[in-house]
Amino acid sequence: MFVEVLQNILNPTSLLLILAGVVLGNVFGAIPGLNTPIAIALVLPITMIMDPVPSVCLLMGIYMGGVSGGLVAAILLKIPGTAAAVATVFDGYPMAQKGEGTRALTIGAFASFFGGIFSSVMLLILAPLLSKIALTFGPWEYFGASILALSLVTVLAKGNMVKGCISLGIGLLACCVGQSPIDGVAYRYAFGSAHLRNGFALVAVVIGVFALPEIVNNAARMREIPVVEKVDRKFFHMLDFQSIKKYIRAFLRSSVIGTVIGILPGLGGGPAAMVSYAAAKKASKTPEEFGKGCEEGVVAAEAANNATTGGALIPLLSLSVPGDTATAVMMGALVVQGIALGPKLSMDQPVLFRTIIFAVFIANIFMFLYQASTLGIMAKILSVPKMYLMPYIAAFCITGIFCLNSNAFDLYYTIGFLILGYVLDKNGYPTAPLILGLILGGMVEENLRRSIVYYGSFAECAFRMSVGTVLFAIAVLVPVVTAVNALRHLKKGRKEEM
Amino acid sequence: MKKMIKKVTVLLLTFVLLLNICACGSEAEQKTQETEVLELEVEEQTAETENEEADQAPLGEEAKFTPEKDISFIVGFDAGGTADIPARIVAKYMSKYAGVNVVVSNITGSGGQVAAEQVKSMEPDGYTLLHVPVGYYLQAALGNADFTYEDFTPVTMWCDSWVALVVNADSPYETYEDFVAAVRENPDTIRMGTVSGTLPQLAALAIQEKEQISFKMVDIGVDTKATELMSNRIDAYIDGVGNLSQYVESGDFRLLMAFSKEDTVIPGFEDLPSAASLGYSDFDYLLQSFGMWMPVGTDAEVVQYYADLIKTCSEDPECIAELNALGYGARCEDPGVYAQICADTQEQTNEAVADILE
Amino acid sequence: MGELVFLALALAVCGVLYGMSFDFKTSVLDTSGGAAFWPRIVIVFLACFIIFRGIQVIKNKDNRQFVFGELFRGSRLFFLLSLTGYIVLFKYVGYLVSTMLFLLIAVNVFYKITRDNFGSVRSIVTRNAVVVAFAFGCYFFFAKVVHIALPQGTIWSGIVG
Repeated sequence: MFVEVLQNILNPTSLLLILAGVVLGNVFGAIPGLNTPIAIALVLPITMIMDPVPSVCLLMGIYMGGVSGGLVAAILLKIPGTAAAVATVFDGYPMAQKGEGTRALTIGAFASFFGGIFSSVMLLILAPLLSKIALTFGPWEYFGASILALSLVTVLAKGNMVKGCISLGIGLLACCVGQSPIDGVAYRYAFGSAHLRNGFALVAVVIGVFALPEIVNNAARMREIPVVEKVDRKFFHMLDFQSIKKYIRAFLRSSVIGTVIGILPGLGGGPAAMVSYAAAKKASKTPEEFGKGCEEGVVAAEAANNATTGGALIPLLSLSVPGDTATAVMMGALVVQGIALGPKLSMDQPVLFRTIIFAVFIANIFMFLYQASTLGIMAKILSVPKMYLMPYIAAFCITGIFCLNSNAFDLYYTIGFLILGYVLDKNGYPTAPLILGLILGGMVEENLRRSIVYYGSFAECAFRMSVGTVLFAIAVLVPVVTAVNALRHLKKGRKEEM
Repeated sequence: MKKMIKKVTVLLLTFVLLLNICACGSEAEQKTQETEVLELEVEEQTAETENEEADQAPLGEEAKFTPEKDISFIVGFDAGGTADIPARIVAKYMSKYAGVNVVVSNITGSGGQVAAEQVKSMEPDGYTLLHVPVGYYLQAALGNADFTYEDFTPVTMWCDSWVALVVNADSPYETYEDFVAAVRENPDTIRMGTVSGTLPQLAALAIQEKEQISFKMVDIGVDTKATELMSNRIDAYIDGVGNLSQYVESGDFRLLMAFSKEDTVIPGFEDLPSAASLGYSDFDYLLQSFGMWMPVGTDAEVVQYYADLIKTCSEDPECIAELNALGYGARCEDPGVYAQICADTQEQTNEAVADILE
Repeated sequence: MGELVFLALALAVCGVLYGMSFDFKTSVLDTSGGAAFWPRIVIVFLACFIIFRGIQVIKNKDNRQFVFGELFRGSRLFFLLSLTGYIVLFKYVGYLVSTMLFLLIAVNVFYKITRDNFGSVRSIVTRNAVVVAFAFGCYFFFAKVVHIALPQGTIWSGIVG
């Protein structure tokens, strides 16, 4: 059987398809507005006429490439092409501004590779077992998990906790715009606009809050000389062994967080990277370095968002439950192939099952080789003078936002978010909770209201003995404990002053 | 160094520009380079058909509509989804017979409403088709949509799909009758998963009304339907056969009945009891068939052309086989008949929805 | 002071949105609290922290300048306006023309700001040629390869018929 699997993958056609997928996915992941589902949709016509194995190779290549694609633009230009790359911006962009862009990319590429490989190993050995976790998660558990993610990121994010909560509130409120979930009959805060019924598009808000304010800010600093990039003159950028040793705990922790969050359908790369970032900051001896260009921050974000891929494939392959839009589209493509996903896949078609996982492995390796050998070229973009770079980036962002829904309406509110993002950021309000609020707000609401329907009332949910209750309790305790600690420090400080 | 980068950039961009010009040029020659290599197969056939057409052109009547550029088939849902896949299959065969590419483009948002709004505002040039899911009737009935079938030109039905009642394979409910009996014995306790504002919800209400029973209705997310049933947090739900067949094949779920007509044969589920055989009547609005609309004011001959095109596709054995493999059926309808179906469906849906709204 | 105005404004918005939540449609089948349930929780949560922050600002006499006005000054204002103009024109003159227009203006003005002149003739020609090529390249990629219906411009169809 093992020989068959190898034969399936280690032939020129399969390898070439994986490579093509990786490159295609990478391009689509890097451009804001385009994403993995669109890339997969683009190749759907050919996968329909291909055999299962080649099409699996192509799809897995695109999937892996797409998740890592956001890395370069996030670090160098502060444009997170997808929500998954938002946490990468926090430390990656400051590093690039300090002239350590190549270093940040090298670390990011290796972290992606590590996270991807780690989670595909988990996929291989633990898929049937881990898929059970996904099943035990009902609405109440999802509510607990998403509230916990919000709480962790808001409390541990940089700066003032009160400001963080205001930012989170704005994000959650922005998420309420549009058709209401569960009942589906109310259009909240749509002001009669057919476009607003759809709510705000996540990527438009991400670009509006992160990328565009940075460009506008730069508009007044045109005369500054571009950063001098410390470029190692080499073709292949492998992370040195010492750094790997130094950050091995961060690599492992982030990969575990990413895999676990990946298994839970619906959460995905964005929350995984942010939670992992918050955890890394909490565990770090020098948390004040985070946000100023800390290498460990890049590790935490990139290892976690890539680890969600293997995680998300676990419920997809073993339960045929897709975890996010990308895997949902992929499921569609695989079903067309006549591949019956589900618990029986690993038993009835062990060769195909292992071929898929092996394709994921190879895709991760290709991903790494591709990034490690191109990042030196990519980093040169920073030496382009700002007077050229800024307008082009702006035009690119605008085009990308238009592509989201083929509609100019998304552009109008993007300007609003630009101003909001600029004001918040410049006045010390963290913007990460706003984005996370927008990503998870819908999930929190849906699952809260769904739990109430399932179990009768909120009180009944809260007194159930379940994982959800535990998660919810932690989510409430973390900010309380942090606030009490902060107050105690404050009082101590005052006494000493006296 | 800097200069070199600049030069390379310029070179690259010039190359892109050249490519563009080439593409435009070939378009003028009526060649369809759209999806490049991706649709090689289709393209070959395109070329063949085109030649035939070129021969016929001088002989044919001038009034008859033949497409001369790519046709866009707008789907309001994500690529790879259950609404999108059949559209792509049929589009492939439409391309084959039309001689030009039928390009599926996904404009997502608000349950497909964004796509519909866009098509509604388009010029009736005869090159834009809209994928019509039953959801549009439902949204109109709920007062959530700013459009009805009357704002478009109905063309034809092109695909059949059915919703079915599904339970866990290891549940005690072997048949539809078992299930109904269990619900009757324990009113308001058997959990029926639904998603508000969707066809399956109306189907669940129809079962309640016909059998005079009452479920405990709980909301399940669009993406988590299967997980909820697998984990036994709900006892049953209703969904399209195309979505369910993989779980039935994998041995997780069992279908109890489908909302289909007496003589309908659902590919892969030949023995499944139909709603008609179980005594349901007037449930046409619960058929999950996909239709096709064009912008209002489209010429009758254009509409007839597409209806005939779909008819040709629906008779192609390969097309039928490909749809059946995924739990869908090929379908075609005369534009006039289809317009009547639209009106009837809307009316029945309005009645069914009247009970939901306060 | 500036921050207090910002917070007061946010609080006022919260109030309006809370009021609006009473007009949401409801469904008889829904037993989960209704569409207004969650937005109200969020608004109360947000309002609490806004008030809390307001107290913090007043108590600590935090007199740091609230950054807002600088966004609307000098080259930032120029860029913001040209971006807004680009977005507004997008639908009317079409993707190709508006992108080219935006880039031509922004690139040349920024060149002038940075270097105090427009550079040599050669530089001007290259610069603007790259802009045109970029616009065409983007148009080709998004419209022809990815099949996205980029706006053609409503005014053109009006003129051409």
